[in-house]
Amino acid sequence: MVIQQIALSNIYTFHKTQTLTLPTTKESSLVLVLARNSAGKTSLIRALRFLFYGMDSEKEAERCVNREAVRQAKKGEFITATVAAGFYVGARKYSLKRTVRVQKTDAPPPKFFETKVELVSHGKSRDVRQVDPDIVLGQMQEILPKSLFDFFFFKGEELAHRLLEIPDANISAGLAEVLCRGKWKSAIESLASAARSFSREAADVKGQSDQYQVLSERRDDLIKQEDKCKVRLRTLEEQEVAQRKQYEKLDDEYISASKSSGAHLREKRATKKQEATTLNRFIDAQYAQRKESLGRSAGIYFLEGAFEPAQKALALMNKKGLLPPEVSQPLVDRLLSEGKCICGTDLVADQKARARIEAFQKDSIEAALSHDLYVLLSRASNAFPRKRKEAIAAIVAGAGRIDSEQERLAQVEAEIKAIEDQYDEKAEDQVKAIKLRRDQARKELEQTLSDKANTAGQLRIIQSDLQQVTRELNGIDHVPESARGLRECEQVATVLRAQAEQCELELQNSFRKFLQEHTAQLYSEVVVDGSEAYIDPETLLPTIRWAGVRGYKAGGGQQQTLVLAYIAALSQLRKHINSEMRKHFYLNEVSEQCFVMDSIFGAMEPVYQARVCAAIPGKMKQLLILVAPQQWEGAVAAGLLRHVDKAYVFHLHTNKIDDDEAVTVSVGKKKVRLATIEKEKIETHTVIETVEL
Amino acid sequence: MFESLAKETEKFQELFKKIMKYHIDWVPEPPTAKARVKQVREWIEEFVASKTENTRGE
Repeated sequence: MVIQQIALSNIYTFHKTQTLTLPTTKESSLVLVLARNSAGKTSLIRALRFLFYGMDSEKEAERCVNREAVRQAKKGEFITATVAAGFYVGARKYSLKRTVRVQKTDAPPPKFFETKVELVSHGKSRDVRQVDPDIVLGQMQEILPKSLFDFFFFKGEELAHRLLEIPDANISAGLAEVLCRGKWKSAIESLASAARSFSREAADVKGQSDQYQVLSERRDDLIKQEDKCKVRLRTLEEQEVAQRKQYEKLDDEYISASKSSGAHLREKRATKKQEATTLNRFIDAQYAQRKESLGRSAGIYFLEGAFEPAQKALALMNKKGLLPPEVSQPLVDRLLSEGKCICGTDLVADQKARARIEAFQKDSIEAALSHDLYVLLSRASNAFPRKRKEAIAAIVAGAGRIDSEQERLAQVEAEIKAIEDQYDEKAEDQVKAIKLRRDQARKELEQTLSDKANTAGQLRIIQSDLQQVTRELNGIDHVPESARGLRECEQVATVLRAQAEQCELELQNSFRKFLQEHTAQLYSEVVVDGSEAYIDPETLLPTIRWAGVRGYKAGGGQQQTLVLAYIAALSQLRKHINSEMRKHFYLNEVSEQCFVMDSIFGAMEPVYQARVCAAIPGKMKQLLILVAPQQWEGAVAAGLLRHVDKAYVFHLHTNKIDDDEAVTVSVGKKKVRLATIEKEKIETHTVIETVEL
Repeated sequence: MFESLAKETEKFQELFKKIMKYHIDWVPEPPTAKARVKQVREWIEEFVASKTENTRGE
């Protein structure tokens, strides 16, 4: 807030309309007001407070009206007291006017009638006028919080006392306002409340949520089990296929190997041998039968006296070499020469001959099979047709059967030979090994089938449980959704709250550091006695330390310097805070601040007065210093005057003045009048006059 | 300053700033405590809902 003009009309000590105009364009300006005690230094600050924030009560309003104006008014007449100011906040200009109307009564104080306020915000295109006291107050609080007023428009000794000796609640409130502590607290509290309410709501559905949790965990577990089971089942199926294939392969191998195995071959050969034996027996029987037939036939020849065909047959057989030479030739010779001797009873009686004949018969079997012999015998049989036919038929039949059986026997013997050729001793061990492996494969396959059946059973149970759990879950699905959401909201609120607390802490630390640095710097420019300005980290209030010890009993110079340094730092801090906060929260900009300082040199030693006068000017955009004449002389006048841009005198009009105070004061080479004693009876009042520099 | 702000996501920081601005920068009337909590709750719920939707979307 940079003040352009203050107009005071019939308010406090100011009679009629008095105006103070302050420079606004300079980087830093200093306005000096010289005023005796009771001339309105404090009244100016009170008038500004009234202008910005209004009155607390009607009584206060009644008392603020200028007594001289009331005195001059007629009974029943209305008197209007006005304070108006034009000021800038950043680039925006505001006009604020507040009036109190009172009515003169028989006896003072006058009767309160009304107060009015008007705030005009001068925009580029149009002005916005606001007359609602509450809204105006809200806007003014935004521009300059009421609690901060005492920091920027203050009486030196009073503020020093309130800051350094007995810090009062307003000071703390002002600091809290500066640091937006209340706003941070409300933000943190809102977030905490939100977190609590989320938590409460979440707790309401916790029971169902817990049930859901249990069921959902059970469902997840069952799904996992089901997947596991399915995988196991697939593995077992694949295993079964592989094992079955392996078993069948081994079984085939076994069958194939066992066919060529020793046992199998032995069995097979035995069968064949049996068959061969049967055949041999049969053939032998046939031979026996033929021998009998031949013997009978040959016997018939001889018995029937058919020597000639018998001889011829024998001769032919001999010729063809069918008769064994060792045995047959003498017999043939005998037959040929002594045919009769082997006939009839002789034949039967002669055992030797009989044996020979039998031998002959045997030997002639082969010969009997020949065609020639057959023809011969056929011819011979003409004589004994019936017997001959029988014999021939028996021979032919026997010969045919023998032929086929002989053939079969040869075949069987060939087969036996083939079987014996196949026979391999090692093959039997191999078959045993294959059989073992096959049996093992069979066991494994059976085990797999059993596992598969068990797994399938488990899967059915799991799937049934899963269906049941899913049905139960579907019934309460909406509740945990909201519970989860609420829990998440609670977490977000808690995190936000923690972040807000952290941010506030960071801000507080940053601000304390800022205050410390700026206050200490300005203080050390003035005070060089070894003491230092120190900002209490808890209260953020200033104190003086000497050799690290707090509560150092400093003189007025140090105290006033500390106050000024602290106030200047505070003003800059306010801008700093706003620049920091604006980065993130888009606060309204807080502009440069006008300072009105009253009685800052009162308790100050001359050495500090000089240093303060050297240090303070130029530190603030706009500074209005109210000085009593007794403080003006010496160091202050010498140090301050060269910085003064504009000077005013609060010219006191009164009937009686305190002789201790000067009536005139020197401003440079000029003598300026501060008070006039009026002859007529008047109420003490002030007129503001400009001092030409 | 505000180092902690960088720890969370951009959207979360937007929410934080919105809430802080609402509490610090009110004009002309400060909202009541009840209204503040209600507002904060609404924004947090919106934030969580949008987050959930995004997660579902992914």
